[in-house]
Amino acid sequence: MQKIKDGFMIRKIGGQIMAVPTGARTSDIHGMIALSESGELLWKALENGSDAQALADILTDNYEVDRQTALADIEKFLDGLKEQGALE
Amino acid sequence: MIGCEHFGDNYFNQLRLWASEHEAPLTVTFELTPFCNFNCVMCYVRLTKEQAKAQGEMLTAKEWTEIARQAKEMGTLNLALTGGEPLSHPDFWEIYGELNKMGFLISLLSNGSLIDEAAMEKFRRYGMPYLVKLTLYGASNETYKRVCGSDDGFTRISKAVDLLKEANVPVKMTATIVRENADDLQEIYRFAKEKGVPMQHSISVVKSSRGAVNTAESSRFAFSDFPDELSIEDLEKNKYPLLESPFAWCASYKTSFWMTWHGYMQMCSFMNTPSVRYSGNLVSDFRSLNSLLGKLSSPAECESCEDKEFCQRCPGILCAESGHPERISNSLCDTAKRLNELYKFRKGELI
Ligand code: SF4
Ligand code: SF4
Repeated sequence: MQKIKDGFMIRKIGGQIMAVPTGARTSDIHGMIALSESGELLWKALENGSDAQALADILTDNYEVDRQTALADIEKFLDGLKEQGALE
Repeated sequence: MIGCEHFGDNYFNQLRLWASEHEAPLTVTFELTPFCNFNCVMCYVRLTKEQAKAQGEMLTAKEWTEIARQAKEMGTLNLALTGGEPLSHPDFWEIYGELNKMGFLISLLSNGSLIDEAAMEKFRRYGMPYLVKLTLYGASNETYKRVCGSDDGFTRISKAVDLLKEANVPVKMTATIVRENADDLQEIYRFAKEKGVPMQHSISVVKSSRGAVNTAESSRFAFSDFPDELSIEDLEKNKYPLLESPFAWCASYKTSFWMTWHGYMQMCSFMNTPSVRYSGNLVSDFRSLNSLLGKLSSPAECESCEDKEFCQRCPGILCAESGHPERISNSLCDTAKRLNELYKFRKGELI
């Protein structure tokens, strides 16, 4: 199970989607995380905790993508989030 | 590919483009207070209690929060807090705490003297600034005493830099060089290097256009104070491109605003004309301001002026120097003239 740390706010400005750390979260994360539309969808799911299989369900429900590709993309996405320090 | 990466420069550039296409206030400055715990000779903002009273009432914490809420709706991302000394505002932490919940990138423009351990504790609780820009006034407590009337200003700012760096907050420093601290310039750079903080200095101090009494006239340096040091390359670098419209150089035009401590929306710190009184409806205030700005023209004299390549005549600077963005100022013209003469002299066109 993976979960996004608390203290982020999703903002949309000029067609761009960004996760902005707020309050105490700014102590460990500097700057913002840029998300794509699908990234935002998964981020929302991860706010309440989710795993690769459940995320793959979301992707295959919303986009025309086969499960295997979805799972591979999700792995990269989760790695990206980890790298940015956004996962608990 | 599911996008998730650090929001870097290319994203910021796209945002700026969007903001200028849509006239959205991407960058906003809140001038929280006209008061300061320092008393610097060249300050063009700081007011005394009596001067402030004559100009208006300070916005309340509630009003700042409401302005921020509306700005956010309009697309504001970068929010700078300044003053006077913003941390000297009696409700600073209340305001700061609220703003930090809203998802802005907050930068703080400060003299650093109030950033101590207790302040850092509060930053940890309410949110670390995205960037802190500190103004440095000298490289010793003696100079601080001379320039700002503070006994331990330098000790405090040194401490502030250490604390901020420890907390991984990006810090930048700017020094304003006036006659009273000119001898410290080298030491100032040495200090910045030792602390690992990017440093810039400026020698231009604008006149006080807003009712504050500073000593810009006697304290500031003009370029023309050290012509011998300016090479032809320096002068080439100081040339300004021709100005097709008053705001041709200005990156802030229609994409930012500055809210004064008493609730006047203006474009930048220098330009108090035109301004629009905050009405409670930020969208319409911003529209009114931009429409007034759009009507400004360059001073008629500039059209045929031979020195214009050496003149820093954006509407903000004109306003600070002459009191109106469409009026020229003798000091600006004199400087441009001297630089142009020097340039011609260096090129051998003038003997
Ligand atoms: S000082 Fe001049 S260039 Fe800078 S924001 Fe004001 S008008 Fe624009
Ligand atoms: S030197 Fe004076 S007249 Fe010439 S461009 Fe500058 S402000 Fe205008």
